[in-house]
Amino acid sequence: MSTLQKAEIPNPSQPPVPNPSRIPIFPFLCPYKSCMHMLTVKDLKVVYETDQGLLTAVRGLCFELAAGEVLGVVGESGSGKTALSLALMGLLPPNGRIAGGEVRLRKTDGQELRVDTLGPVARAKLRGREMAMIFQEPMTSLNPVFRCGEQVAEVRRFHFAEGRKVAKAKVLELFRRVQFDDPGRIYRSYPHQLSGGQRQRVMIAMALAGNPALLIADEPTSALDVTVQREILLLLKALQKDWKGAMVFITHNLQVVRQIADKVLVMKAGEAVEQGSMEKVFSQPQHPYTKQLIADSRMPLRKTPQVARTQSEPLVEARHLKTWFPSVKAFFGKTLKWVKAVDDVSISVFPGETLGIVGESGSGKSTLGRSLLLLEEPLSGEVRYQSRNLATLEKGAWKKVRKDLQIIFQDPFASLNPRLAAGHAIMEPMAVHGIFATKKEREAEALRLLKLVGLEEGHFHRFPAAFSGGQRQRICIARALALQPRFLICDECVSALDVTVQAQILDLLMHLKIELGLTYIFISHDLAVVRSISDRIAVMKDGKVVELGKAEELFRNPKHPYTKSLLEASVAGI
Amino acid sequence: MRRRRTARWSMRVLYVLVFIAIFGDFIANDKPIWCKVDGQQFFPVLKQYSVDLGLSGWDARFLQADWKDQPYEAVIFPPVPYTATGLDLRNSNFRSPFGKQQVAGWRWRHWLGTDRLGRDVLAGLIAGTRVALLVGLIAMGVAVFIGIFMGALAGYFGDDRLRIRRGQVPALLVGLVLAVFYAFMAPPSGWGIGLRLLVFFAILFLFFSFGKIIPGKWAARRVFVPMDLLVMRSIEVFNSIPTLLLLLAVVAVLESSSIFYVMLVIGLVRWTGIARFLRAELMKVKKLNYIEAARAMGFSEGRILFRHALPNSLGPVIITTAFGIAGAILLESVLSFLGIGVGGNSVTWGSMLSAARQAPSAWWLALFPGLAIFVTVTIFNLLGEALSESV
Repeated sequence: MSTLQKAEIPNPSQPPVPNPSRIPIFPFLCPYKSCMHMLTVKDLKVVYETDQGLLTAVRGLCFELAAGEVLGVVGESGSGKTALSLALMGLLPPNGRIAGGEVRLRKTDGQELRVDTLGPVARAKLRGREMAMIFQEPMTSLNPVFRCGEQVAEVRRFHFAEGRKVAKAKVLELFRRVQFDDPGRIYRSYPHQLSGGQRQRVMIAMALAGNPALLIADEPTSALDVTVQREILLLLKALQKDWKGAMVFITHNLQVVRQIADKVLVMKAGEAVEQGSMEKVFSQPQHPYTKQLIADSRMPLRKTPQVARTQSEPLVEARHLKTWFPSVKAFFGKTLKWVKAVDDVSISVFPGETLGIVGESGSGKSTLGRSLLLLEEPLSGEVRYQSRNLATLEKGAWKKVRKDLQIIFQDPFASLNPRLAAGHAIMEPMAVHGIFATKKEREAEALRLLKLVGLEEGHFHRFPAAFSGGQRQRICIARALALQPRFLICDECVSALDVTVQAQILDLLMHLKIELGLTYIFISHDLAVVRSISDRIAVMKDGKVVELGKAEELFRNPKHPYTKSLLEASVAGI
Repeated sequence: MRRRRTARWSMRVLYVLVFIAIFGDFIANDKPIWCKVDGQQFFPVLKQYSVDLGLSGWDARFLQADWKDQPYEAVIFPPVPYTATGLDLRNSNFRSPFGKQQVAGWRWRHWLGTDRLGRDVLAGLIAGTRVALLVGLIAMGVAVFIGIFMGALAGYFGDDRLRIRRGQVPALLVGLVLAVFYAFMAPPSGWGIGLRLLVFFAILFLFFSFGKIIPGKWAARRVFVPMDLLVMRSIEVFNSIPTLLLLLAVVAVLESSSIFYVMLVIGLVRWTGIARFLRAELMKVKKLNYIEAARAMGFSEGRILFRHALPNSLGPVIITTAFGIAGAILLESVLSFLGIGVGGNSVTWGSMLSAARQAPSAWWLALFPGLAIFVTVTIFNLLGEALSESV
């Protein structure tokens, strides 16, 4: 840590410096600098050539990293985090290039090398050897037709010209280092035979195979479940101890950065708005944007005043609901094996409450939500709305009930028809259900809804492609509200959004709940989000509800062992 | 960037071809566009259209002599003063473009030569443009219509989305047999294809509705229609028919050999590619959230399919269509080269090529129609490629 503090020099592009006495007079002659730093980035500028002209993705970025240090790069999507990592690796797409500044890397043999001016062949030689990268998606970053071990061994054989046997021994050693209990089995496995966490560990082993001077991890844990996330972070931290390289850790999640980084770089719109040691940035954030980020990531409670609800009649009720999907079928279509996505679940939601459903991916929480709306046909059991069984309703009655029960999906990019302007997307359900008699009235209502969800009148004729993720999610909410529903299922509806936008959407949802008297089921894998919004919480595992209780009680005093492990693993540190 | 440039140039060439196809009569014609005889003005090219439609007849004076020998006071001939089928007997027997031609001056020269009967090659190329583009358009129009219908059924409904009462299954089967009999086998040959199709679908619909009222517990149970299975199997059946043999058979059966039957058959065979692409795209699109949101909002299946799913899945269809037009034009050229489909007095690029076979030394008969086919097919392929990159 001490070298860190000494090595820290101010960023020339950042005017506000807390302590002027710490600025070295001749920064480039600074005695402890040149010998220590693995990676030096000075005034880096990355541009993309697009149809609209030159787009600057990163500008004026300066930082240094010593051996064994981790730099956490934080920022929202579109802030230039990924452009930075691609530029460092020399993997920019054909229309992107480094337009200014310099990147210097100290190789493992101690020699310092200016990387950004190297030709493509020389850079390719560096990759995998001197610099390595871990990607976000462990599903797609391994080649599915090769065994995992062979893919890692390839790095050794390519860069070190090792023989098959030597390489294999080295890879088994690496697998042991990334904490595989049975390296031999992993070596022989194909990627699809491993879980997400295991695959990510293979990726880490592959990145370490070249013993690189620089490791870039681009959102390595974002695609993983909380429990696995924690496992991978602990592993990276442990590896950091005995491996003397520098690491750049890119993420949108502040809590993750807090766990692993020594230095933090906060990016916004391609610029570093704040950088410094981890403790300093978190304890005394200078820039308003950093303050906002830290505040938003804390997830304030957004609860409506409690009403005695449990005594009243439930609004929506599931009784012994089973939604199974056939996984193995016999020749004549008889199902031999089932995937039990929802297995005998009974829950009730009372008017005016928010029921949170948490669980890891594959626990069946989304399927439960969709089964409640009969978007997925349950195999058995029943769903009741105001004590009426939905499955036995006549067509006309079902259509009337349909509009009371609405859903908002996770992916704001896939939930709007790209060929329908925002206003028309909101008007269509009203037209189908005949909610207003004339087109004029529907238009007026659509405009009112747009304003209600915080959009403007001018957005009426715009197409989804012209909106950001948060704005699209607002349109989805407005579209669902157009039917004047009483019950809304939010299926991971903020998971794809940046923290600040997440906070805004959650506030909007709570505001609407009070104003319109809605009842929510809030499905999420993010415990912090669910906690901040729910009155009661159901924990799902393997298609079953393992625990159901009042939110605070469940967090304070979890009963089921799975709930306990989930709470422990939650990096949000609840 | 380079791709975009080729696409732009392909579009420009296509515009030129379309222009030639539409205004071909004003570019190559043995009648004047405008003339003045005895103080009277005439527009013979325009008049030809009304004569062809039987609305009026020619002035007697024009019937007595050749168009070139009329006593004009003033006259404007088209740029190419010949028709594709007009015989220039003085220049028959393969006159080369560069050879000696017995014409009254440069204005009457056959710039691309003549064939055995003295027909002008340039006029033939211009007339052939219209046939080629029509074949591409109509054949692919038929293919797109059938392909979208079948592909949408297979892709959107799959094997487990469309349900009917079990009673409707036997009703439909009986209806199908009767419909085929009463629409295609029993009626007199005077019935047109439209009437037959109407009867066919009417009978099917009747039995389909009848199936709804069959009583009983067995009939009332709802079963899935394996739409995907049915469509995919029929695609396999159609793909296993060799197009050329089918065309030969159809042409042999039909009394009147018309180019339109050729177009229809090409369309009937070529829909499978479009249906397969649309099916794949729809299978992807129907899993997207906005389709599910539409179902959650209680939209009808038809509305979801036509308003939400189909418009977002047409990209691959447009690309296949561009390639398909190129294929159809090529196929038509092959057929007319073999002498199938086109009547004796119509001129197409393929039939001009086959004329070259009789006289290998007449290189202009092979080169120019060949170039025309090459350019047309190439621009449609380039357009298809450009589309597939932009979608």
